[in-house]
Amino acid sequence: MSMLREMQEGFAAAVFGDEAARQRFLGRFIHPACRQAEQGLEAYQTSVQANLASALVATYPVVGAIVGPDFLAAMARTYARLVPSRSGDLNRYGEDLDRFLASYSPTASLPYLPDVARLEWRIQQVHMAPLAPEVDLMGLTLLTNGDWGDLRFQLDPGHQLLASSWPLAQIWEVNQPGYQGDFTVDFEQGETVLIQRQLQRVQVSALAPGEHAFLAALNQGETLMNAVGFATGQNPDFDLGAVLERHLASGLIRRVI
Amino acid sequence: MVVNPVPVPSGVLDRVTSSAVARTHATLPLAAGIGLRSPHLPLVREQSPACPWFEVHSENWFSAGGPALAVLDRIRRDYPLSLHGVGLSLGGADDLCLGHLEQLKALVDRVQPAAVSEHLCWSAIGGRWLNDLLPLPYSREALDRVCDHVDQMQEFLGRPILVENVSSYLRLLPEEMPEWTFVAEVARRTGCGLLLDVNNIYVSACNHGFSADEFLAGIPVSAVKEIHLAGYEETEGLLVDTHSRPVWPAVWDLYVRVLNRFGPVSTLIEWDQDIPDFATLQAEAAKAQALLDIALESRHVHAA
Repeated sequence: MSMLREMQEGFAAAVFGDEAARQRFLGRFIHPACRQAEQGLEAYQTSVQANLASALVATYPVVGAIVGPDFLAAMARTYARLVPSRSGDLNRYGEDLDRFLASYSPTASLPYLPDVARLEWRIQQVHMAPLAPEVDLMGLTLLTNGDWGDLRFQLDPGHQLLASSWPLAQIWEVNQPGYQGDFTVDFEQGETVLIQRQLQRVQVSALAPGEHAFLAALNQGETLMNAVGFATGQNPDFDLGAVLERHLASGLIRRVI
Repeated sequence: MVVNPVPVPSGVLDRVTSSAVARTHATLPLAAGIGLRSPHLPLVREQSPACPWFEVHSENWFSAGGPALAVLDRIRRDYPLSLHGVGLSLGGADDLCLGHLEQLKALVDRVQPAAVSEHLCWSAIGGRWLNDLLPLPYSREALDRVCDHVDQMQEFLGRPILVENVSSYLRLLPEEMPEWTFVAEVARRTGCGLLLDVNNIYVSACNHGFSADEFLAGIPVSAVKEIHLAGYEETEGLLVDTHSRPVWPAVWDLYVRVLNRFGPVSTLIEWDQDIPDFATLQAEAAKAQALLDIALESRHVHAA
């Protein structure tokens, strides 16, 4: 076997493993003239952990606000050991935090935390989305009565939808830096949220019943008629006019296709 | 002797020169630039501060969204730009990650940078990334591995790259040559250029007890295309490459000796932790520029 591969495997085991793995590495791969071998290995261990932890902290500020910075730092070390990083691009690190949290006993008393992680990962995906196409709704003005139901729309790629049995939009809002309002959150009430990029900022807002089904259908290229059908199936009082107006004004609906 | 010259396809140059928007920067300016990090992006975008060139970390832009890439396009229009990789793992026993190379190539094609660089280190093993610049043993096996990967990277990108010496805190086995021979051999065998990090030479020289000047003497003059300067921190006698403070006086002294040996070379100030305000970075770059100006003047005198 390649000596280089053995060294690198031993190094990774020492960085993420126990004292025995450290001693095996130090005993086998360190040059006899190396000064401060233990300290040198520790410096790498610190630096690897810090790089991974700071990526996790940057992606999950609300999880961090809920559990506190010291708790998050300790959790990030455990996550780094148990869930390997799979990319040289640290923006891709941390995707599995929701699944990790679901079985992480120290946060068992915060059952909504995996959904908060799911929300924050999607916020990151929304930041990474391509630019939205220019708004072009000329097609709407050409409509005559009756053919609106066949319309299809292109939505801004900078958005995601997420359904939760927890009040995600409220949890997100009260944990924003500088939030001054009421901190009471009704945990009995689940929320479906829209995550939307507007002017380079990402906003999270709660959707009305039926709205999620409506937007998801439009985004998949369904006709307006079918989208309304999905929405009213969930909410007989679905207010098409208000919902359309809101998402045309926010720029989520970009073009008629 | 260049064993593996890497042809630059003429199409690449044509695209640059025919572009009506992008200014052409075939090489980095002989001036002191600044490593551009996210806290200063808004200021650079809105105020176009004085700076002869910028360098950004390639991977930071791999999954950037449309608005962020538009900012990068704008910066590229106003300044010469270099793409500096921190995650390809050129010294890894694993094969290079093709997805990583593809993302890099897409970014290089978009930005048409003046330089593309990577580190002489490893970052991943067995498909697991450690996301750090980890040390190599200076062995023949590691040298072969790095050279194969540099060849592959240059062929994939269709352009020569620069490789950078890293700081190290461990001396690894088997050691079959000094670091400077390893670095010089990579350049000789692959035809790549060298990015000399003067702070890293100083840090490794102190940690391992070799002479920084002996390192410099082992590096071929014509291969050096870029220089990095940064600040380290010391903990219990070990120097750690934190990029968290100003360049130390001893590293400025070494930089002067580097300029004496290699002549004026494009230089970059790097600062990655506890990042100060932009004016502090400009002041550090001005210090480097003053020393570069002396080197440029002295070359002019020699030429006359």
